[in-house]
Amino acid sequence: MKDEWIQKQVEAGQAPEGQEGELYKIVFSALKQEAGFKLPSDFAGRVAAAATRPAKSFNWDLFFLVFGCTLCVTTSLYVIITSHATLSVGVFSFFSGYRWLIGFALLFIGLLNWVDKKWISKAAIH
Amino acid sequence: MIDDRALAARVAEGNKHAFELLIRKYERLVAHMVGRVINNAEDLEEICQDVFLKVYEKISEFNFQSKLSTWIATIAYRQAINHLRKKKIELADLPDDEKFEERFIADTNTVELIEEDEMESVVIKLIEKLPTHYRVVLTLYHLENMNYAEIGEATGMPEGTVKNYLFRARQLLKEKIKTYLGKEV
Repeated sequence: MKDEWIQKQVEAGQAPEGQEGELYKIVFSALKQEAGFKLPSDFAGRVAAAATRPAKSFNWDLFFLVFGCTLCVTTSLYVIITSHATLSVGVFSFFSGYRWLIGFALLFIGLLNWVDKKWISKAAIH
Repeated sequence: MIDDRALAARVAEGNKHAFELLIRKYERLVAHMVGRVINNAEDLEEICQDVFLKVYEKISEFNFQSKLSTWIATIAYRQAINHLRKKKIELADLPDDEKFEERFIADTNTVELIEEDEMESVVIKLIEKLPTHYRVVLTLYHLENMNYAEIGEATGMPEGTVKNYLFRARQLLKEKIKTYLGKEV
Protein backbone atom coordinates (compact mmCIF):
# COMPACT_ATOMS: atom_id res chain seq x y z
CA MET A 1 0.00 0.00 0.00
CA LYS A 2 2.85 2.34 0.94
CA ASP A 3 4.66 1.60 -2.33
CA GLU A 4 1.51 2.16 -4.34
CA TRP A 5 1.01 5.57 -2.73
CA ILE A 6 4.64 6.55 -3.31
CA GLN A 7 4.45 5.47 -6.96
CA LYS A 8 1.35 7.64 -7.45
CA GLN A 9 3.01 10.62 -5.77
CA VAL A 10 6.20 10.29 -7.84
CA GLU A 11 4.17 9.97 -11.03
CA ALA A 12 2.30 13.15 -10.12
CA GLY A 13 5.64 14.91 -9.67
CA GLN A 14 5.29 15.12 -5.88
CA ALA A 15 7.85 12.58 -4.71
CA PRO A 16 7.71 12.23 -0.92
CA GLU A 17 10.89 12.94 1.02
CA GLY A 18 13.00 10.01 2.11
CA GLN A 19 14.89 7.15 0.55
CA GLU A 20 11.91 5.35 -1.00
CA GLY A 21 10.79 8.50 -2.80
CA GLU A 22 14.31 9.11 -4.10
CA LEU A 23 14.66 5.54 -5.33
CA TYR A 24 11.33 5.69 -7.14
CA LYS A 25 12.36 8.99 -8.73
CA ILE A 26 15.41 7.22 -10.21
CA VAL A 27 13.20 4.37 -11.46
CA PHE A 28 10.60 6.67 -13.03
CA SER A 29 13.28 8.81 -14.65
CA ALA A 30 14.98 5.72 -16.16
CA LEU A 31 11.66 4.42 -17.45
CA LYS A 32 11.30 7.59 -19.53
CA GLN A 33 14.59 6.90 -21.34
CA GLU A 34 14.35 5.71 -24.92
CA ALA A 35 15.09 2.04 -25.57
CA GLY A 36 18.47 1.40 -27.19
CA PHE A 37 17.10 -0.01 -30.45
CA LYS A 38 16.30 2.48 -33.23
CA LEU A 39 15.24 1.81 -36.80
CA PRO A 40 17.48 3.16 -39.59
CA SER A 41 16.54 6.54 -41.08
CA ASP A 42 15.61 5.03 -44.47
CA PHE A 43 13.36 2.37 -42.91
CA ALA A 44 10.04 4.14 -43.67
CA GLY A 45 10.96 4.76 -47.31
CA ARG A 46 12.12 1.20 -47.92
CA VAL A 47 9.07 -0.44 -46.31
CA ALA A 48 6.61 1.93 -48.02
CA ALA A 49 8.25 1.22 -51.38
CA ALA A 50 8.15 -2.55 -50.79
CA ALA A 51 4.50 -2.51 -49.71
CA THR A 52 3.21 -0.33 -52.55
CA ARG A 53 5.30 -1.90 -55.32
CA PRO A 54 2.90 -3.12 -58.04
CA ALA A 55 2.57 -6.87 -58.34
CA LYS A 56 4.60 -8.40 -61.18
CA SER A 57 2.49 -8.68 -64.34
CA PHE A 58 4.08 -12.02 -65.19
CA ASN A 59 5.64 -14.42 -62.72
CA TRP A 60 8.77 -15.63 -64.51
CA ASP A 61 9.86 -17.73 -61.51
CA LEU A 62 6.67 -19.76 -61.66
CA PHE A 63 6.92 -19.98 -65.44
CA PHE A 64 10.42 -21.52 -65.32
CA LEU A 65 9.40 -23.90 -62.52
CA VAL A 66 6.41 -25.25 -64.46
CA PHE A 67 8.39 -25.33 -67.72
CA GLY A 68 11.28 -27.24 -66.06
CA CYS A 69 8.99 -29.78 -64.40
CA THR A 70 7.05 -30.37 -67.63
CA LEU A 71 10.27 -30.85 -69.62
CA CYS A 72 11.61 -33.28 -67.03
CA VAL A 73 8.46 -35.43 -66.97
CA THR A 74 8.15 -35.43 -70.78
CA THR A 75 11.79 -36.43 -71.27
CA SER A 76 11.51 -39.20 -68.67
CA LEU A 77 8.38 -40.61 -70.33
CA TYR A 78 10.05 -40.45 -73.75
CA VAL A 79 13.13 -42.33 -72.49
CA ILE A 80 11.02 -44.98 -70.71
CA ILE A 81 8.88 -45.58 -73.79
CA THR A 82 11.66 -45.58 -76.40
CA SER A 83 14.04 -47.77 -74.34
CA HIS A 84 11.29 -50.29 -73.49
CA ALA A 85 12.35 -50.01 -69.83
CA THR A 86 10.92 -52.53 -67.39
CA LEU A 87 10.52 -52.12 -63.67
CA SER A 88 12.83 -54.28 -61.55
CA VAL A 89 14.66 -54.12 -58.23
CA GLY A 90 17.95 -54.35 -60.15
CA VAL A 91 20.97 -53.26 -58.18
CA PHE A 92 18.95 -52.93 -54.99
CA SER A 93 18.61 -56.73 -54.73
CA PHE A 94 22.20 -56.57 -53.43
CA PHE A 95 20.91 -55.10 -50.17
CA SER A 96 18.70 -58.09 -49.35
CA GLY A 97 21.77 -59.98 -48.07
CA TYR A 98 22.54 -57.22 -45.55
CA ARG A 99 19.06 -56.47 -44.27
CA TRP A 100 20.03 -56.65 -40.56
CA LEU A 101 23.05 -54.42 -41.04
CA ILE A 102 21.03 -51.87 -43.00
CA GLY A 103 18.22 -52.05 -40.43
CA PHE A 104 20.70 -51.40 -37.64
CA ALA A 105 22.33 -48.50 -39.53
CA LEU A 106 18.96 -46.81 -40.10
CA LEU A 107 17.96 -47.33 -36.48
CA PHE A 108 21.29 -46.00 -35.23
CA ILE A 109 21.15 -42.88 -37.41
CA GLY A 110 17.54 -42.30 -36.31
CA LEU A 111 18.55 -42.67 -32.66
CA LEU A 112 21.46 -40.24 -33.09
CA ASN A 113 19.13 -37.66 -34.64
CA TRP A 114 16.62 -38.11 -31.83
CA VAL A 115 19.28 -37.71 -29.14
CA ASP A 116 20.64 -34.62 -30.92
CA LYS A 117 17.20 -33.02 -31.20
CA LYS A 118 16.06 -33.94 -27.72
CA TRP A 119 19.19 -33.28 -25.66
CA ILE A 120 22.21 -31.88 -27.47
CA SER A 121 20.52 -29.04 -29.44
CA LYS A 122 18.78 -27.77 -26.29
CA ALA A 123 22.01 -27.91 -24.32
CA ALA A 124 23.76 -25.92 -27.05
CA ILE A 125 21.11 -23.14 -26.89
CA HIS A 126 21.19 -22.84 -23.10
CA MET B 1 -0.51 17.52 -39.56
CA ILE B 2 -2.78 14.99 -41.23
CA ASP B 3 -5.06 13.14 -38.80
CA ASP B 4 -5.08 9.37 -38.41
CA ARG B 5 -8.42 8.80 -40.17
CA ALA B 6 -7.39 10.69 -43.29
CA LEU B 7 -3.96 9.08 -43.22
CA ALA B 8 -5.41 5.55 -42.89
CA ALA B 9 -7.87 6.24 -45.73
CA ARG B 10 -5.06 7.34 -48.02
CA VAL B 11 -2.93 4.36 -47.08
CA ALA B 12 -5.87 2.04 -47.80
CA GLU B 13 -6.02 3.59 -51.32
CA GLY B 14 -2.40 2.50 -51.82
CA ASN B 15 -0.79 5.92 -51.46
CA LYS B 16 2.92 5.33 -50.93
CA HIS B 17 3.65 8.79 -49.52
CA ALA B 18 0.84 8.42 -46.96
CA PHE B 19 2.15 5.02 -45.89
CA GLU B 20 5.63 6.42 -45.48
CA LEU B 21 4.17 9.16 -43.26
CA LEU B 22 2.30 6.56 -41.22
CA ILE B 23 5.48 4.52 -40.75
CA ARG B 24 7.44 7.59 -39.65
CA LYS B 25 4.69 8.46 -37.19
CA TYR B 26 4.54 5.02 -35.58
CA GLU B 27 8.02 3.49 -36.11
CA ARG B 28 9.09 4.56 -32.62
CA LEU B 29 6.08 2.79 -31.06
CA VAL B 30 6.70 -0.38 -33.08
CA ALA B 31 10.43 -0.36 -32.35
CA HIS B 32 9.76 0.03 -28.64
CA MET B 33 7.15 -2.71 -28.56
CA VAL B 34 9.12 -5.21 -30.63
CA GLY B 35 12.40 -4.26 -28.96
CA ARG B 36 10.99 -5.06 -25.54
CA VAL B 37 9.87 -8.55 -26.59
CA ILE B 38 12.73 -9.58 -28.89
CA ASN B 39 16.27 -9.54 -27.54
CA ASN B 40 17.96 -10.50 -30.79
CA ALA B 41 18.97 -7.26 -32.56
CA GLU B 42 19.34 -9.03 -35.91
CA ASP B 43 15.65 -9.95 -36.01
CA LEU B 44 14.28 -6.62 -34.81
CA GLU B 45 14.29 -4.68 -38.07
CA GLU B 46 12.81 -7.58 -40.00
CA ILE B 47 9.96 -7.98 -37.49
CA CYS B 48 9.28 -4.23 -37.54
CA GLN B 49 9.07 -4.42 -41.33
CA ASP B 50 6.64 -7.35 -41.11
CA VAL B 51 4.52 -5.33 -38.68
CA PHE B 52 4.15 -2.45 -41.12
CA LEU B 53 3.50 -4.75 -44.06
CA LYS B 54 0.70 -6.31 -41.99
CA VAL B 55 -0.61 -2.82 -41.19
CA TYR B 56 -0.65 -2.00 -44.91
CA GLU B 57 -2.44 -5.25 -45.72
CA LYS B 58 -5.12 -4.87 -43.04
CA ILE B 59 -5.67 -1.12 -42.82
CA SER B 60 -8.73 -1.17 -45.08
CA GLU B 61 -10.41 -3.41 -42.46
CA PHE B 62 -9.57 -1.09 -39.56
CA ASN B 63 -12.70 0.78 -38.46
CA PHE B 64 -11.34 3.05 -35.71
CA GLN B 65 -13.06 1.31 -32.83
CA SER B 66 -9.75 1.93 -31.06
CA LYS B 67 -6.95 4.42 -31.64
CA LEU B 68 -4.71 3.70 -34.64
CA SER B 69 -1.70 3.59 -32.31
CA THR B 70 -3.35 0.90 -30.14
CA TRP B 71 -4.19 -1.18 -33.22
CA ILE B 72 -0.62 -0.91 -34.54
CA ALA B 73 0.75 -1.78 -31.08
CA THR B 74 -1.50 -4.87 -31.05
CA ILE B 75 -0.11 -6.02 -34.40
CA ALA B 76 3.46 -5.35 -33.22
CA TYR B 77 2.92 -7.29 -30.00
CA ARG B 78 1.38 -10.31 -31.78
CA GLN B 79 4.05 -10.30 -34.46
CA ALA B 80 6.80 -10.27 -31.83
CA ILE B 81 5.15 -13.02 -29.76
CA ASN B 82 4.62 -15.14 -32.90
CA HIS B 83 8.29 -14.71 -33.70
CA LEU B 84 9.23 -16.05 -30.26
CA ARG B 85 6.92 -19.02 -30.77
CA LYS B 86 8.38 -19.75 -34.20
CA LYS B 87 11.86 -19.72 -32.73
CA LYS B 88 10.60 -21.82 -29.81
CA ILE B 89 11.77 -19.20 -27.32
CA GLU B 90 9.76 -19.39 -24.11
CA LEU B 91 7.99 -16.25 -23.00
CA ALA B 92 9.19 -15.75 -19.43
CA ASP B 93 6.04 -14.91 -17.53
CA LEU B 94 5.91 -14.25 -13.84
CA PRO B 95 2.91 -16.34 -12.70
CA ASP B 96 4.77 -19.53 -13.73
CA ASP B 97 7.80 -18.59 -11.68
CA GLU B 98 7.00 -17.44 -8.16
CA LYS B 99 10.66 -17.36 -7.11
CA PHE B 100 11.52 -14.86 -9.84
CA GLU B 101 11.23 -11.77 -7.63
CA GLU B 102 13.62 -13.18 -5.00
CA ARG B 103 16.12 -14.20 -7.67
CA PHE B 104 15.84 -10.86 -9.45
CA ILE B 105 16.65 -8.87 -6.30
CA ALA B 106 19.37 -11.26 -5.13
CA ASP B 107 21.21 -11.45 -8.48
CA THR B 108 24.26 -9.18 -8.36
CA ASN B 109 25.72 -9.89 -11.78
CA THR B 110 23.89 -7.10 -13.58
CA VAL B 111 25.02 -4.14 -11.56
CA GLU B 112 28.23 -4.92 -9.75
CA LEU B 113 30.53 -3.04 -12.13
CA ILE B 114 28.52 0.16 -12.40
CA GLU B 115 29.18 3.35 -10.47
CA GLU B 116 26.59 4.76 -8.11
CA ASP B 117 26.14 7.95 -10.14
CA GLU B 118 25.01 5.86 -13.09
CA MET B 119 21.89 4.54 -11.38
CA GLU B 120 19.63 5.37 -14.34
CA SER B 121 21.81 3.23 -16.61
CA VAL B 122 21.58 0.47 -14.03
CA VAL B 123 17.78 0.65 -14.05
CA ILE B 124 17.75 0.54 -17.86
CA LYS B 125 19.87 -2.61 -17.75
CA LEU B 126 17.61 -4.09 -15.09
CA ILE B 127 14.52 -3.49 -17.22
CA GLU B 128 16.02 -5.86 -19.81
CA LYS B 129 16.20 -8.56 -17.12
CA LEU B 130 12.50 -8.33 -16.31
CA PRO B 131 9.96 -10.79 -17.75
CA THR B 132 8.66 -9.86 -21.19
CA HIS B 133 5.18 -8.84 -20.06
CA TYR B 134 6.62 -6.46 -17.47
CA ARG B 135 8.91 -4.87 -20.05
CA VAL B 136 6.08 -4.42 -22.54
CA VAL B 137 3.73 -2.87 -20.00
CA LEU B 138 6.41 -0.50 -18.67
CA THR B 139 7.33 0.60 -22.19
CA LEU B 140 3.80 1.25 -23.39
CA TYR B 141 2.92 3.15 -20.24
CA HIS B 142 6.03 5.24 -19.70
CA LEU B 143 7.37 5.72 -23.22
CA GLU B 144 4.20 5.60 -25.31
CA ASN B 145 1.92 7.21 -22.72
CA MET B 146 -0.80 4.60 -23.20
CA ASN B 147 -3.39 4.13 -20.45
CA TYR B 148 -4.28 0.80 -18.80
CA ALA B 149 -7.19 0.13 -21.16
CA GLU B 150 -5.09 0.76 -24.27
CA ILE B 151 -2.26 -1.44 -23.01
CA GLY B 152 -4.82 -4.13 -22.18
CA GLU B 153 -6.22 -3.93 -25.69
CA ALA B 154 -2.79 -4.06 -27.32
CA THR B 155 -1.55 -7.02 -25.29
CA GLY B 156 -4.75 -8.92 -24.56
CA MET B 157 -4.18 -8.61 -20.79
CA PRO B 158 -7.00 -7.58 -18.44
CA GLU B 159 -6.70 -4.00 -17.17
CA GLY B 160 -6.19 -5.23 -13.61
CA THR B 161 -3.25 -7.35 -14.72
CA VAL B 162 -1.70 -4.40 -16.56
CA LYS B 163 -2.00 -2.24 -13.44
CA ASN B 164 -0.58 -5.00 -11.25
CA TYR B 165 2.35 -5.74 -13.57
CA LEU B 166 3.17 -2.03 -13.78
CA PHE B 167 3.16 -1.65 -10.00
CA ARG B 168 5.16 -4.81 -9.35
CA ALA B 169 7.73 -4.09 -12.04
CA ARG B 170 8.45 -0.61 -10.64
CA GLN B 171 8.55 -2.01 -7.11
CA LEU B 172 10.99 -4.72 -8.20
CA LEU B 173 13.27 -2.16 -9.83
CA LYS B 174 13.17 0.02 -6.71
CA GLU B 175 13.91 -2.94 -4.41
CA LYS B 176 16.76 -4.01 -6.65
CA ILE B 177 18.52 -0.65 -6.61
CA LYS B 178 17.88 -0.37 -2.86
CA THR B 179 19.63 -3.70 -2.34
CA TYR B 180 22.40 -2.61 -4.66
CA LEU B 181 23.01 0.61 -2.80
CA GLY B 182 22.91 -1.31 0.46
CA LYS B 183 20.62 1.16 2.17
CA GLU B 184 18.02 -0.39 4.42
CA VAL B 185 15.03 1.61 5.54
